[in-house]
Amino acid sequence: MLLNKQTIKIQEELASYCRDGKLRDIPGANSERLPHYRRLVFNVMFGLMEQAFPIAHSKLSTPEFKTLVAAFMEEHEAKSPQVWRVPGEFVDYVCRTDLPVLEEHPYLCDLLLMEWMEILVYNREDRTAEHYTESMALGDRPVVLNPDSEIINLKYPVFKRNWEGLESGKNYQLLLFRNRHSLKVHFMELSVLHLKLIELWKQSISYSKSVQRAIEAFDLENNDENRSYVNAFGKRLYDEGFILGTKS
Amino acid sequence: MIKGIGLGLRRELSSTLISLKNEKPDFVEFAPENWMGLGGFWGRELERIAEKYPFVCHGLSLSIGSPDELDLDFIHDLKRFLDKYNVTLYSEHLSYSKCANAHLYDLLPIPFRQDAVDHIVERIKIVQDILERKLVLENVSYYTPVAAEMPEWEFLNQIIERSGCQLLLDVNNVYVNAFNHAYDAKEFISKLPLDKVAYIHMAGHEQVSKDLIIDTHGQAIIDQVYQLFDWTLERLDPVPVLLERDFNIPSFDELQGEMKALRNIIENKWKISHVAE
Repeated sequence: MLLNKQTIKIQEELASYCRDGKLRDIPGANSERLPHYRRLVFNVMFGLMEQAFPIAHSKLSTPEFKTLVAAFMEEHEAKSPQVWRVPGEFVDYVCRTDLPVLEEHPYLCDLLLMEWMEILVYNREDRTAEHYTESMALGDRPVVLNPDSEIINLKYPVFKRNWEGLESGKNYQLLLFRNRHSLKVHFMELSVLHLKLIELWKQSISYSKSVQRAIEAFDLENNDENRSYVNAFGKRLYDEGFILGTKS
Repeated sequence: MIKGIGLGLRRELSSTLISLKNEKPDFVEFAPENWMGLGGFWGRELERIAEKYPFVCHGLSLSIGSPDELDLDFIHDLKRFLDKYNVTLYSEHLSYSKCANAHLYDLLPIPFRQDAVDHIVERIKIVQDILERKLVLENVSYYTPVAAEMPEWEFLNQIIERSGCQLLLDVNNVYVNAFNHAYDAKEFISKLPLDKVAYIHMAGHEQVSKDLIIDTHGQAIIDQVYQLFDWTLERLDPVPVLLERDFNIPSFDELQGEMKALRNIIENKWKISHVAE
């Protein structure tokens, strides 16, 4: 390291001030102008989070949101050189703290996670799917699922956007996937039966056998009504682009 | 080869740039960090831009002046990206944006000191070796010096001469710094190694008090900066020129108007001197 300790200290003091807003005595610096650096750094981060989490931002008061961003800047060491990935670090930070805002808005962690996962699934590098034939005749062949997808576990049904009386009741599973044609992100709540079906499809078990096994796993009658319910789910997944087709 | 007048690529501008038929910029510039590893809609937009325009990359997160270790994983990722798109011109800022393990996503001023010169020269050489390209460093705007022991021009000169890197001459930043620190912009430019200028940045700024300008890239270029640009061109061989606009993005007509104004100055200065040769 060719930098001497004093230069390192000066650089660290300026950076720390930008992160926590606590003014230090920085040699040779104009103390009236230093606050512009804090302001500019804070504005970058605040603007980033405001844009990444429009719903969370609207649910919190501006002072609450600013406090959250300020705490993140001060306490979290942002790791990614790619600024668009920092909202993911923000979610991790908020969800492992016990900030007062989480008492006021107990669903906040789930909401931030859902908004971040939409950004991630929308933006991230395309994943390669297995070779498939686009066909609704799913029948006896294994299905190929859209790899540009995630399933997240939530305590609060934040995806319903029904904020009045929002309560945690059970584990909610939410599927997010990027449609390969429109490139838009779709959301779908999954029941435990749906989740089981997706697990079976991921194991390359044919569509129809998966339906049969899922019905049996939940002690349901293998009758027309239940098969029809499951098949409607399969058709919806195919129509919306989560099931891409059958293995070819 | 990159030449002419370019425009900074913002996501807000991508669809216009892709569909543009006339009065196109000669090239575009973007921050690789904002586009590396993207798929989906934005990945496809980048492919369309790459089919239509030559481009240069202007980084944000290298943090060449940081006391922290260089992020070698990031630099190797960057090299793969630059190679994929055959980017020959990669520039960064002579500043630091990461410190004590935390990225700040903005540009902080480096103390103009000898040990900082030594430190940065060593880091530039490492980066250039990995990237297999010359690094091009921009003179950044700053609002206060920090523990300076030498003037800015000397700091820049030493780094460029000893590292073998090139200079991205941001004319607006020279204007901003000259105003903020009460020095003569032309004298400052005269002291720079102008034979090492790889390209030029032009942008607008915002005066926030009677003695302070902030380099916002959020306004149109002002006349005084055009005049400084005009004066500078007389001292340079032709290089590409880029218009930066990052905030308050106006109509595309307005941006085309600014690019046209820059093109007129270039044609006036460089074509005349070329004919005279």
